[in-house]
Amino acid sequence: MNCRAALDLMLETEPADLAGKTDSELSRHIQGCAPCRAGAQRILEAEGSLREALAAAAPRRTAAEAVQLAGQRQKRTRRLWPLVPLAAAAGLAGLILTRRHPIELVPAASPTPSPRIAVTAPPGRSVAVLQTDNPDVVVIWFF
Amino acid sequence: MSDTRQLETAVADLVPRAQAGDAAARDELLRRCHGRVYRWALVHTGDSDDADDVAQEVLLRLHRYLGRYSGRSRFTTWLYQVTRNAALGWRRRLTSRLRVTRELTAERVGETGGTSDPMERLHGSQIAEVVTALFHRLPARQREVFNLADIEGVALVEIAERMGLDPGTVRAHLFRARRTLRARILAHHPELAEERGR
Repeated sequence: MNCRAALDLMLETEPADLAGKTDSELSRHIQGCAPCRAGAQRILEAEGSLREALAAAAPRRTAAEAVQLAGQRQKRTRRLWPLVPLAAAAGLAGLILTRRHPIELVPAASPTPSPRIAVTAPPGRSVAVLQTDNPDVVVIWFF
Repeated sequence: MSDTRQLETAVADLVPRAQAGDAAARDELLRRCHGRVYRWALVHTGDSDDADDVAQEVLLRLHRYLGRYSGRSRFTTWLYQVTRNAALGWRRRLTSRLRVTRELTAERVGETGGTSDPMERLHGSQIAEVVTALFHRLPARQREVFNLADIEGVALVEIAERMGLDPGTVRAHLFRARRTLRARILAHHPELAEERGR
């Protein structure tokens, strides 16, 4: 193996080959060629420095701060979740009540009185029944 | 034993206790994972502040979704995927912000031109800083694979599992990453350049 071929292999090979610790052709060449050994050594040193630099990297926040912040955000989110269905129901009701021109899905016919719908909410939940201008559409919201 | 394996061993008894609702075990689990998650996030973001934010996000997800960990894979594999997803989300938001910034600063970028190769400034003790800078200039996927394979010593098959890739693809990314990094390192050895001619 000449140095050109060795250098090309050095760019992709395993670190153990670069260290001359294997029985590969490249490893044997590195052991017997001072310039290639220097190059391999340089690569190993650089990658070793990178390994140390990455291992030494530490977060600025302490773990305790990060845990505390994570807990606080979690609590805040939990407090806000119960309000979401209420807000959505209020928004939907507002939208329906303020709508001036309801979409006519069927040709106008003689209006029939829409039946009143009685809905019972499951245990621990509430229900809102919204009658719309369209007798075929009733919004039932469990929250 | 690699850093990841140490973490796996350290949290083995904490995970089931935290999942069962033991708050002290959960907090200890988050503390133990924090440094490792931060370093993974740093590989993705290349910036310590951003890595802090991603790590914070991961701790929050861990806090919230620990119950979803079924134990089918190693805990560190699952944790890595949570970190990876958080980092990818961060990158998407960053890309979106950069698009706007790029439009606003297009002229200034044109004036300053391209960045110089940091290896040109290499001097003895600065090597770690420079190699780290070179590492962060690798494409994201190559950087991720190189870190897992050559820095953390994770097997290619496990890397493929963590990243949801074919092992052959992982190997290709690893070889490309090594080639780019090592070529830049060797480029500053004139005596080696001469040897290439032989």
